[in-house]
Amino acid sequence: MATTAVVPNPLREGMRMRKTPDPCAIVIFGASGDLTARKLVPALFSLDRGGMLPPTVAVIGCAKTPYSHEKFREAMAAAIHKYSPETVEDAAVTDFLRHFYYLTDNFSDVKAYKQLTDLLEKLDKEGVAQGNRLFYMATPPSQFPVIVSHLNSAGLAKPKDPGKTWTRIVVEKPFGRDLTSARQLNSAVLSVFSEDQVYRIDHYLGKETVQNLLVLRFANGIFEPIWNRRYIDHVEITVAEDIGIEGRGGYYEEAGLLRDMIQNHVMSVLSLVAMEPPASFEATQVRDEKAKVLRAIRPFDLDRLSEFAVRGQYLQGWVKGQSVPAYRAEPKVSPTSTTETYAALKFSVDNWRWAGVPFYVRSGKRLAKHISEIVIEFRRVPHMVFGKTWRDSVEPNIMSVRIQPNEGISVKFNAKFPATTMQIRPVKMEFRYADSFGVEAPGAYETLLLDCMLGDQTLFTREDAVEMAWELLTPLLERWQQDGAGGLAFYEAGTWGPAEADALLARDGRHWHRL
Amino acid sequence: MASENLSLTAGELRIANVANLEAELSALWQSAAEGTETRQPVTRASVLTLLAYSESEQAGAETLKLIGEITHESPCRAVVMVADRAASQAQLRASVFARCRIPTPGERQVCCEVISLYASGPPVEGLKSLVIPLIIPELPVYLWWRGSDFAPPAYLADILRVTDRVLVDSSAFPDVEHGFTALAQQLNRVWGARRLAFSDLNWTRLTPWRELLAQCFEFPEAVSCLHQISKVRIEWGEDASTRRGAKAAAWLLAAWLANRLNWQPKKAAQTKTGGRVLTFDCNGQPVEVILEPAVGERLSVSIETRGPAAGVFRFMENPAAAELTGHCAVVGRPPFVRRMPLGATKISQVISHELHFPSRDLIYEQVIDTLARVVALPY
Repeated sequence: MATTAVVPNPLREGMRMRKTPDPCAIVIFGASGDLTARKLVPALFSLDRGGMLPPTVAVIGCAKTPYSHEKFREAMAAAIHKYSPETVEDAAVTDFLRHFYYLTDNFSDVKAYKQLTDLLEKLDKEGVAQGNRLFYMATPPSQFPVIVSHLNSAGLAKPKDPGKTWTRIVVEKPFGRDLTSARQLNSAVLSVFSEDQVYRIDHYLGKETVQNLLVLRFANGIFEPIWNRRYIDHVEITVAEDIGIEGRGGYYEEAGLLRDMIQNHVMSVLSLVAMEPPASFEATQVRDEKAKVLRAIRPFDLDRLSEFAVRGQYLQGWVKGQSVPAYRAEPKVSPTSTTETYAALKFSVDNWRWAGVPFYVRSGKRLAKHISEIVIEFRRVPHMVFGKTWRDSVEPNIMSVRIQPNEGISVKFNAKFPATTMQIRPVKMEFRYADSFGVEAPGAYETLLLDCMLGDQTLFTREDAVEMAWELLTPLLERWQQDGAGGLAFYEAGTWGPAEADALLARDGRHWHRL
Repeated sequence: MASENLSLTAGELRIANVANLEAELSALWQSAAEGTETRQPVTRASVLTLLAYSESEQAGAETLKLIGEITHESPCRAVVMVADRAASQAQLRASVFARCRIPTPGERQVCCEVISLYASGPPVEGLKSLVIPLIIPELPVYLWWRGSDFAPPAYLADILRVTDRVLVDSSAFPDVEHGFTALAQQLNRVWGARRLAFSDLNWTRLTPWRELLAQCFEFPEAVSCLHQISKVRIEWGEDASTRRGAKAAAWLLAAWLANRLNWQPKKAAQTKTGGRVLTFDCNGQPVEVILEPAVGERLSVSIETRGPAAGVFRFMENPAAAELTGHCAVVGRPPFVRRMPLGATKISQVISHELHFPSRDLIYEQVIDTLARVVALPY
């Protein structure tokens, strides 16, 4: 991966350790929210324990909620104890939090940035942050433009000492709620920061298995030759959750599943499956290839939408033996809501590699189980030499890449059952991370925060990819909005979604793989 | 992820041959699959074959203990060899174990095979006939050398021909200069049709040191300092058993700097304390490197540079905080301090780390080559 070494350093050659980032100040806007306590601070703590952080990292929480520095440290200590996967010692936590600060103010007001500037200057003088700044937008997207603008007015958006220090900004999803708002957001951010300063974070891309997809494809000689329309029949991507909306009715009514899951996570995974080999695992090249995939996806024919898209909403049902309410009965959800909690889509990637190979994707809440998996189904053998009996019953080869849980890769192939007669049975070869590697994979936020501090944008979403994904999905959202309840399919909670989603594949003579 | 190991089955030591070993391994997995002891479904996992070689039963017993910790992180088939050639009694005996991670609820239990082989007297020649068939096809093979200087006896030659990487530990070299010279000769030796890759656990322990030094010279003013170094002083403490190997580490660091900065060795002199003063040539400018034993820290390094970007860099261990500290002062920049966690220090952690790297470490090989030239300087 790319690093930020300014001048080639002969001592660095052949080093197996990843470079430790420069000392810096991480400024979190919206620091009193759940993301900071649940994900960001535990991830930073874990990086620190692993020796991957620089000796000094200052974290400045910024929010309206009145906290003192001490109160913030106490809250973050509690969060580390609660959300760290391992038991941690109080002394280690206290030491880690020694450079945590909190500024209570309304950061929609430009005056609030004076105290932030003063604190940053003080930390620079003390040698804690050394002029490097990472602004993390953990606020609702509506606040991004004003914060960005005020950072600019306060003179904090540009590197303090260009060439020697850096300034970056992390933008959390959602990156807009449609094409227009995404463009407005990009425009607001890019009017102040340059694209190489902007890190649009989709934590899904930080997952180990998602990254392993690139290793599977591009570090093995046996897969790439068959990774195309000649050998692959179709691709399925499933991102299923058994949980509901977890009390976030207000948010979900505005968002819906397409915005929450498909526009970012699923489209990112699809582009990693379908992309051409980049010349190197370097940010620009990987992101160029991903963008090419999005550009090659055929827009939906809105006149024949039912052939390409299904939207659903869950009804009352049973999940893990518990009765769960219908979506419309969830708190803060309209009893006549038409918001989708499930979507199944069929994409066509119009290029030489994928012409004629459908990519079926589905994602939903309150499905039968929590699982994310990519299934590659290969074409059947062109001629069955074992006679008519086996012609239709021998199953095609399947490669499954499990993203979560129990991350791993399996390949299904056919073998002869031991008998005096010819009997063919499908068998599975399986690789599981937990079996082969006795180390815990780093959390997605650990990977991504470290990349950010090191200036590596490979796993972050670029402006063009965001807009292209919205360009594909916005017409669909608008049509669904117009249709209201018309065409909304319902499914019982705890099942694999509406029957219409099965029909989507059945129409092509296919079926969703059993997960 | 599991955090403990347990021994699933322990066979009695007995004379063995390949057929019995395979049968015993099969029986081991059969009993594991039935879950009589673990009450969990068992998965056999291997990502490599780890061979360990030692020449005393005591070292073999220590190795067996460490193997349990290593297999936790790197599932493998481990073959622990003890070859006591000088023993009067001729013996060849074996036992098999399974090392299992205790799973968390819902996880599968992952177990690894450990085969212990003891040979004394002439049967040491027959070790290879047991070991080679036990190597798992198509997976990397590591040989962990548990002796002192790496000088493999002839009966290991066929095993080395099927080995990818040898793990040595220069901290165990009784005579550092001699040990590195012998190792340099082995680096270039061809076994079968290829050269072996080498790991030195002492070099692995130096990784945080090298990273810290590299970091302190990362910014433009300091990078230019690198080519203006006039004096390096590396001191090692040798008054405690925990500091074993510090002298070899000091030599490795000196050779690394010389190799990376293209210093040519010119002359050497002995200090009063038994250390060495080495003089290198760097583009016509002399560089003095002093290697000296001292009372105190395990290792400390100071570097002085000349010219307009003169600087002073001091690096030391802070064992209480389990970290290294670098104090850096360069003209044109405020002084700064860098810290680096000491990293893996337990031998099982260091081995586990090395098992992640099957390919050759070209920088290490170059450093050993430089080191061999430096220790050959008359003094």
